[in-house]
Amino acid sequence: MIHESLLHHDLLFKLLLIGDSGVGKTCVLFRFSDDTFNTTFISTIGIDFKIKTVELQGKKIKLQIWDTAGQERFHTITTSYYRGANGILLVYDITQPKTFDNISKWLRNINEHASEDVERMLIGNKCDMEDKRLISEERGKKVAEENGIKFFETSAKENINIELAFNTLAEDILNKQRPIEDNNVATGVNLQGGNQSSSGGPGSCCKL
Amino acid sequence: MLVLLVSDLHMPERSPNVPKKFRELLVPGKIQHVLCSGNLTSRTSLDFLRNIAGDVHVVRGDCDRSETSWPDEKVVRIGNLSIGMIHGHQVFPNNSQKALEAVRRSLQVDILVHGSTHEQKVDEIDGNLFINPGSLTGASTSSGDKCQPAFALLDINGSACTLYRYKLGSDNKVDVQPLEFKKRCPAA
Amino acid sequence: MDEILSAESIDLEELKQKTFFGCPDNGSTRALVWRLILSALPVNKAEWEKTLESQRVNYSTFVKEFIIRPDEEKNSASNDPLSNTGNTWDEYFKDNDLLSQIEKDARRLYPDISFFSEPAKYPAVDFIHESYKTGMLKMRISKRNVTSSQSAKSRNGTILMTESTNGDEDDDQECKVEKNWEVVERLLFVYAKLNQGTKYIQGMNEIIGPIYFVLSQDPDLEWSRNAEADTFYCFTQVMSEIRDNFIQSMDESTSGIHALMAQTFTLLKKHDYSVWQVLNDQEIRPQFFLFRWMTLLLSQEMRIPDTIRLWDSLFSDSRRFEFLKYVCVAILTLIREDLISGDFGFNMKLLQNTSDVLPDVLIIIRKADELRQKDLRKNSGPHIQLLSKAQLAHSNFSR
Repeated sequence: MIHESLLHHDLLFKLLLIGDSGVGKTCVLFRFSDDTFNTTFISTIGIDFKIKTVELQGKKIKLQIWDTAGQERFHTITTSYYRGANGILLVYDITQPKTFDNISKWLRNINEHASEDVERMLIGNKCDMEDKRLISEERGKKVAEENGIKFFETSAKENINIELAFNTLAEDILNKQRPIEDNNVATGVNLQGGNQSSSGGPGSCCKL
Repeated sequence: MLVLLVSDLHMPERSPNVPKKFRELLVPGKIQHVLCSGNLTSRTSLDFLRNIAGDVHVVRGDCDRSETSWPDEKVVRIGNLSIGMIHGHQVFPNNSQKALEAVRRSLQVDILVHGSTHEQKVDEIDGNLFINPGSLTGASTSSGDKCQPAFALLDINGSACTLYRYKLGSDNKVDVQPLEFKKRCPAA
Repeated sequence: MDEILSAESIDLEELKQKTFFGCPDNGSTRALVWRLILSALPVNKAEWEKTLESQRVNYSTFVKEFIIRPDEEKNSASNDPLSNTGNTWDEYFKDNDLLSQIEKDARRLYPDISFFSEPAKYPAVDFIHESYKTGMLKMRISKRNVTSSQSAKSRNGTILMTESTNGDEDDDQECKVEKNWEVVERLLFVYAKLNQGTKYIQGMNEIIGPIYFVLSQDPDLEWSRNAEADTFYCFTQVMSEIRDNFIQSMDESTSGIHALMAQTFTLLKKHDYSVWQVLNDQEIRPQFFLFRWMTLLLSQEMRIPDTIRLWDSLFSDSRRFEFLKYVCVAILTLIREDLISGDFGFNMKLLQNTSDVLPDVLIIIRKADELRQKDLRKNSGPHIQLLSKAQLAHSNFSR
C-alpha cells in the first residue's frame, strides 16, 4: 500500500542551474517558474531561488530550483550548493563558443562537489537565435553523449523545450528512486508530516 | 575593430583544409566580423568562419550550391565605412577594373570586396579600395592553376582603416603587409 | 546642514552625524556631502580647487592611458594584429575580454529606470580629450554596429532587396550619442585596469551606479560636469573599504564576506532570537540572501531613491560599514511575523524579493539605529569614553 500513501505525499527535488555568466540561466528559470521572459534581467549575485510544483506519474513534486551566479568569483559560494542537489542543469549559450568550451570545467565542478548520484543535464540555450548560432546541435549532443547525460536545446525567449527539460530531469530523478521505493523505503522529503526540521536547505534534500 | 576578408575556400573538393599557419592566427576572440566573397562550397567552410567571429556575411559564388540563401551582392556598413561584396564571376570581363568600378558605383560603397580569381589583389583607385583577399585555402583555380593561400584583415576606426594583407609563402612563412586607407571627405 | 557646509573648514564628524538622518533630495547637497564623507573632497575648502583639479586631471590621464593610447598605438604600430607574440594587440584583445564582461552588466544596470539608457549630459568627448571618440569602447566589442543590405537576382531576373540591422533599432543613433551606461562602463574599465588585483567583479556596477546617478544629477553644472571623474574617486573610496567582499581569496578571512555574514547572524541571534531560530531550523544559510544584501550594500533590494537615502546613513557611519549589519538585522526583525509563520520556500522567496514587502526605508534606518544604540548603551557606552580618553592620552604621549 506504499504506493497509495505516496500519492498524497509531496516529493521535494532540489535542482541547480549552473553555467557561464550571461548564458540565460535566470531567463530559463523565469520562463519555467513564471512563464515570462524579460531581456532586462540584472546579473545574479550569489544565488537566486524559485519553487515550482509539477505533477509527474501521479505524484506532486515540489521543485526547489537554485539559480547561481556564473562569474568565477562566485564559485566558492555556489559550489556549496552542489552537495544537496538532486539534479543539475548545466547551461551554455549556442551563440557563445566560450560558454560551450567551459562545459568540461563545469562538469569537473559537478564531479568534485555534487553527490555521486546527481542527475545531470546539458542545456544549449538561445536556440531561437539561429542566425547567430555558433555551436551546432550535433556538437551539443556529442558532448552530452560522451558524458552520459541528456541534452536539450532551449529558448527561454520563444519558450522552446524549457518545460520539457525540467520535467525530464525531474522524471529521471523520480525513476532513479523507484527501486528504493519498491523496497518500502520512503523517498523524498515528506513535507506534510514527520520531520519538520528537514524541510529544505542543502543537505536535507531527498535523503533522510 | 577587426574585420576578416576571405574568399574562395573550395573546401573540401579542391583543398582539404585551411593551412595550419593560418588556423593558428585565426582564433576566436579577436575578430568581430567576417566577410566572405563566395565559393565556400561546404558547411565545413562556413563553420570554420563562424568559429572565428559570430557575425559572418557571405555572398554566393559560382560554385556555391544554388539552394544556399546567400545573396549575389551585399553591402555592409561598419563604422563609417560601407563595404560592398560580390563574388565576381558575374562581372564581365572577368576581373576588369572598369567592370568592378561599375559594380562599386552601383552599390555606392567605399570598399569593394570580391573574389573569383584566387589571387590576392588590392587597388586604391580614386579614393576607393578594391580588395580581392585571394583564396584562404590556396585552392587551385577552375583551370587547375596552383595558388598561394591568402586573406586580408581590416582594422576599422570610424572613417579610416588599416588593411593587412596576409600571404603564405612557399617557405611556409606568413607575410603581412599593412596599408593605410582613409575615406575621402564627401565634400572633397 | 547648510550651516555645516558653509564653514571654511567643515567639521566632518558633525556632517556625518547630520547626514545619518538623510540629505535633502533636491539641490546639490547630497552630491557634495557624499564627496566629503567619502573623502573624495578635503574638509578644508581652500584645498578644494587644487584637489579637484588634480583628481580630474588624473582621471583623464587614466582614460588616455588605458583607452586612447592603446588604440592609437595599435593603429600606428604596423605589426600584425593576429600574431600571438605579445605585441600591443595582445593587450588590446585581453582588454576586450574584460570590456565585454563589463558591458554586459553596464547595459543591464537598473532596467526599471530610464536614466542609464539616456544620453549622458557630459559625454567623454567634452572633457577628456579631443581624440576620444564617442562609442570608442562599445565599438571595440559590440556586434551591434553593423547594418547590411543585400540583393539577389531571382530566377525571373527581378532583384530582391532586403535590409537588416544587427541589434537594436536605435543602433545608428547609439554610436553617435553616449549614454549614461557607457560612462559607467568606462569608469569600471578604468577601475579594473588600475586595480589588477580585483579587476571587475559582477556587482561593482551596482555600487558605482547610484553614486554616478547622484553626482551626475547635481543641478549645479560646475559640479555635474565633472560627475564622471568625481564618481571615480568616490567609488574608489567605497571599494577600498568593501573590496574584500568582492575578492574570492578573501572569503574566508576575517574581513571577508563570510565573516561579515556570520557577524550579522550573531547580531540577529542577540536581537531577535526567534527569527534567528527559524532561519537556523529551516537551514536558511546567511549566504542565501545576506551575500547579495551585503556585497551590494542592499542596492538590489530596494528602489534607487531608497538605496540612495539608505546610503546617506551607511556612508556616514564612522565605523564604515558596521551599521550595514544592523540594517540587515533591522530588515529581518521588521518582517519577523512573516518569517516566523513561513516555511522554507516562502521565507526564501521573501528574503530574495524584499522590495515588495519592506517598510519605508526610514523605518528600517530608525530600527537599525535603535538596535545599534541598544548595543552601544549595553556594552560599550562607558568604554567608549574611556577609550577615547586613553587614545587622547596616547596621542599626547606620542607627541
